[in-house]
Amino acid sequence: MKNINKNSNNLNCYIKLLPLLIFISIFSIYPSFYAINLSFKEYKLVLPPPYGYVGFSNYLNLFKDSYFIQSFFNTIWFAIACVLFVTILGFFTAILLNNTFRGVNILRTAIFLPWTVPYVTTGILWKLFFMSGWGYLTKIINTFGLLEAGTSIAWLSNDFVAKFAIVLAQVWHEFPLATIFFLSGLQTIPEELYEAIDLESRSVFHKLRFITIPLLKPVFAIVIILNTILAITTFDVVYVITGGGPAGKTSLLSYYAHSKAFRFLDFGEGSAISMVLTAVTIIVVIIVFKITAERNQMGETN
Amino acid sequence: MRSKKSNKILLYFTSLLLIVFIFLPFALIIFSSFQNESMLLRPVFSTSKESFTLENYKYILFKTPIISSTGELRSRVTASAQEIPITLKNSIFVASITALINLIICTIAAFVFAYYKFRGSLITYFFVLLSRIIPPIAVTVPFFTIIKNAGLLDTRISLIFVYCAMTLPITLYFYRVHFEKIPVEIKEAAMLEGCSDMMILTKIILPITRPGLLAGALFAFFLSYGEFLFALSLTQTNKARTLPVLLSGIISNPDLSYALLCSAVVIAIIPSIVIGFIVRKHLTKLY
Repeated sequence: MKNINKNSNNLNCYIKLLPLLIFISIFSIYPSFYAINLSFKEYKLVLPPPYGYVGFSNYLNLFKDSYFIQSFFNTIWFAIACVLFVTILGFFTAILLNNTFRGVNILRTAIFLPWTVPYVTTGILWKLFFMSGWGYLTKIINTFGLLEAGTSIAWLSNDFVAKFAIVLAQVWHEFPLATIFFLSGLQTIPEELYEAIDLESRSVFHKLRFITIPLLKPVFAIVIILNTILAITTFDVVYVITGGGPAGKTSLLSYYAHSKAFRFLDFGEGSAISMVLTAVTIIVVIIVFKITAERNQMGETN
Repeated sequence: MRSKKSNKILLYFTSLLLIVFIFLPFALIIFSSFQNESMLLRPVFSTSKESFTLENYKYILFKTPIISSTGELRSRVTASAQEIPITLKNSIFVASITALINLIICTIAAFVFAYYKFRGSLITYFFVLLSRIIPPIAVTVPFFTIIKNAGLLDTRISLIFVYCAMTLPITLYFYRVHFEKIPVEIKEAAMLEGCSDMMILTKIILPITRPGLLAGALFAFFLSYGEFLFALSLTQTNKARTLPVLLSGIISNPDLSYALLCSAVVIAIIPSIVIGFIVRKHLTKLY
C-alpha cells in the first residue's frame, strides 16, 4: 500500500506534520535567526529607532568587557563542577540504593523529590539556607552554639560560598534524575557477572572498575550530555540566589545576557552574548558527544 | 560476618546523609511556613508552641489579615503574597493548555514518524529535535520583540505558544519511543484486516500507549509549570504572570515577609511534586 502512490503519501505525511512544523518554525527557528540578526545591530532601547547594523562591533566589544570574560569562564567551571558532582553523586547514590536493606524502596522513590520542584523554588530554598541575618545555616550554627550568640555572617558575600551555593542548588536539583537513570541501568546488569568476578577477586573496586562502569557507559553518556546542556544554560538559580554577585563572581553567560538585554536595555549586545553561549553549547555538546561515542565504541571492541 | 555487619552500618549511615541532604531544605521551609514572622527572624530555631500558626496560609488563600499574638497588625506583610492564587491559576492554565496541544500535535506527529516511510522523514525529525539545542536565553530577546510587535505582551496565549515550542520536541521524542515499542507485526496484521491508518491509531495504538502518552503530556505540563526565564520577560501584570515569576519578585523585595514566602513556596511546589512523581516512572524508558 505504501509503495503504490508514494508521492501522495509523502504529501500526506507532511500535511499531518504541519502543525508541529509550524510551531517549531515560528517559535524556535525564526526567533533564532532573529537573534542572529539582532546581534549585528546597535539595538539599544534607550536610543530612538531606527536601529542600524554595526557589523561585528557587538561581538568585538565583548572581548574588551571584563565582566563578559568573567561570565564566560564562570560558565565553564560551573558546567564542569555540576556535571562532575551530578554524575558522581548520582552514580554512587544509585550504587547505594541498588542494595537491599530496610526502607530502600521508599528511599528509591523519595530520592526523586528535589527534581520535581521548579528551579526557582530550588533557588529560594538554598537562598534562604545561605541568607545573612536569620538564614537556616546561621540558625543551625547558632543552635549548636558554634558561634557567639547573635553572630550573623553574610555567606553569599563570600566568593567561594556564593559559587558553592549555586553549584549545590543545581546539583541538588539534578542528581535525582541521574540516580534514576543509573538505577535502571544497574538493574539490567545480570547477577552472574558479579558472581563470575567473585571467583577472582572480591574487591568492590574491581567490580566497579571492570563490570559496573563499563556496562553503564551509555547511561554515563546520557547523564553527562544532559547535564552539560542544563548547566551551560543555567539561569534561574543564579538569578534567585546570587544575582551574579558578589562582584560578578557568579555571573554566568545566560545571566549576563539577560541583564544586558533587560536591565541595560541593550538588545544587540545581549543577543551577541547569547549567540556566544549558543556557539559554546553546540561546540561542547559535539565534543562530549564525540568523546562518549568513542568511549562506547572502545567499550564494545574490548 | 563482622564485615557484613559493618557494611550494614555503612549503608544506613550513608542513607542517613542522603536523606538529610535531600529533605533538609524541604523540612526547613515547611517548618518555617507554619511559623509567625517574628519567631522566624530569630537567628535560632524556636520550637515553642506560640511560634506556630496557620495565619500565613490563611492570609495567602483566604486573605485573612494577619494579627500577631499581641494584637497589632504586622507591618512586614508582603501584599503580593495574596496574588499567589491568581498566579497559580495562570500557571496551571498555561501549563494545561500547553499539555493539551502537546498531546494532540505529538500523537499525530509521532505516529507519522514511527509508521510511515516518507522522503526527508529523518531530516525532519532531527530538525525538530535539534531545535531544542538553542539555549533559551538566545530566543528570549527575540520572543520579547516579536510578541511585543504582535501586541501579545503580557498575555497567557503568548506564553502558551512559547512553551509549546519548548516542549513539543521533547514530547515528540517521548511519544516516538513509546510508539516504537509496539511491534510492526501488529500494524501489519491490522492492515491485512483492512484497517485504515486512522483506525490503527485510535483502535490499536492509543489504547496500548495511553499511559505513556498521558505521561508525556504531563511532562510538558511539568516543564511549563516551572518555566521561569520566558515568563519573566513576557509577563508584567497578574493578567499572565506565572507563579515562579511572582515568587522571584517576592524574594527580591527587600521588605518581604519571609514566613509568607515560605508558605508561598510550599503551595507552589505541591502541584509540581505530584506531577513530577507521576512522570518519574516513564522517564527511565526514554533511552
